[in-house]
Amino acid sequence: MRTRSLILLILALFFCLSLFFQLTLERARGEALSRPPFLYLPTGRYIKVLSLGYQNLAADILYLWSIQRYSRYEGEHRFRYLEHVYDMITDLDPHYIDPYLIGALTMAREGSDYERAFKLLQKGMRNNPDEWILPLDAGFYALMDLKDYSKAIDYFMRASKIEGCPPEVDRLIAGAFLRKGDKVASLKFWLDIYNSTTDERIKEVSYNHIYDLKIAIDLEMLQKAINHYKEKKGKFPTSLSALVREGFLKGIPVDPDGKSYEYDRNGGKVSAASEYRLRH
Amino acid sequence: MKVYPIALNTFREAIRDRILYLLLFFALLMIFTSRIASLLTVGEESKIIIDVGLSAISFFGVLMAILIGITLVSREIEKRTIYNILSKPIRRYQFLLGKYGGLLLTILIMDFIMTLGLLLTLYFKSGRFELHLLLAMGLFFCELFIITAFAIFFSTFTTPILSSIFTLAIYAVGHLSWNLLALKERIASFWGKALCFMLYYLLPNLENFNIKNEVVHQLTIGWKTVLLAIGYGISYSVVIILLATLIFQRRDFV
Repeated sequence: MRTRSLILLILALFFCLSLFFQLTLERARGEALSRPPFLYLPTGRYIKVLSLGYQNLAADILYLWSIQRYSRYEGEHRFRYLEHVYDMITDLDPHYIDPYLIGALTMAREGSDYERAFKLLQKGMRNNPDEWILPLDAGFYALMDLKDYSKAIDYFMRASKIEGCPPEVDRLIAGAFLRKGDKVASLKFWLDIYNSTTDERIKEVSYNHIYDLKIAIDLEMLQKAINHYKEKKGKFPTSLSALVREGFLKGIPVDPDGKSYEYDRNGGKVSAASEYRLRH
Repeated sequence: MKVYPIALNTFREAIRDRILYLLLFFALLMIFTSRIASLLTVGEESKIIIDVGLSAISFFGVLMAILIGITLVSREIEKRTIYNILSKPIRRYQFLLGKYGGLLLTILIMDFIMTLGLLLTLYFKSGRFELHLLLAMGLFFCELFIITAFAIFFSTFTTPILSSIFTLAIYAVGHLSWNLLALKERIASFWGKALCFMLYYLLPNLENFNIKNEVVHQLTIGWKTVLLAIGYGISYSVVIILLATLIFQRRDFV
């Protein structure tokens, strides 16, 4: 009984000692945080060789580590090796989609390095041409953050051609065309969406867009013809039908409600009789 | 038919080995705890479970093959039971084949238990049995044909410790041998190229059986690739077992 108690006492003592070492180590590690977290990080190619066929596991471990590391808002040069870290993970497992998305998110939203984010997503697209989420993600960054609508359209178009891509991407393309200023292309996409959807709500939304775009395109076309007339004749036309008569227009459009556009002959301005449904 | 009783005895002997259960315990522990590790990820949790699970099965499967395989012949020699066996009308190749078969049966059962553990872990996570993983396990078992053959091969002429080191080295080399082709392209000298080329085809290419990536991402794997890998596994193992027989026949036990 005495021997047993003695063993238990020694056991408790050594356990306390191990706890002491552990706590001291943690404190020392805390100080080490201010230093660069890794000095040597080989490329994915080398780790692939060293992983002896366990490259998927190596990619998972690195990915889990990267999530823990980049979710902590501390450390001075947090984003310095970001590209290298995610390159390494995606070299080890090129078909692992999550690291492309999370890496690009961290690069873009945390590190404000959109060039690298696009580079990583493009690498993902090269390795996984059947994954629509990658071009869709790139399109979002271009549309929402960079306001680069041409780039956004390119990526969204790419995503829309991939099987399984949600049809909502067409609405994003139509919206991006509108923001870019290409109303005709935007109208074409909204018409396609209107004709192809069976969802009543989407039908209504797309109709409203078509309605507004038709008016905006007509007004632009009419105003352009009026201005052209003024340039040639030195005065505004007396009516919109004068534009047709004298060959400046092929015909006079009416708005989606069938109403004629209003024309102010003194100011040479044309306006819609109906109100816009989405824009006022 | 003389091979069968030896294989059965080898199996009975192997399943009594405590180390087998210790390895099985750690493999299952790793598989089950992968569910916890998967919670740390952002995105696909099942991928982490599958990767950790397949790696655990592969790693512990290889350890089982090596640690049990290296002692099979040497233990018979050490305990002098080999004298009794070989004094009977049993040929040495039959003895080795029996040992090999018994060990493969043991490992097959252990692999089955580990795979079941992984499938159940995934079932509790996603509610379905990911049966496509069985293809990866099948090819991994073919890799074990070769590893086990090497473990027995080395145990016919050297000590268990050296056998385990050599077999582990073969395992590492087998997964690295594809680099020899890349090295060949970078070497200028003809003889250097020839050596790389020769070593590449001489050493086992265990990457032939590694379809973990394809299985995890559910990529298309051609049946031709699978059948060729199985053919490679069987034929290479036959070569190693024949080499082991040649060496074993030269040993004097009388």
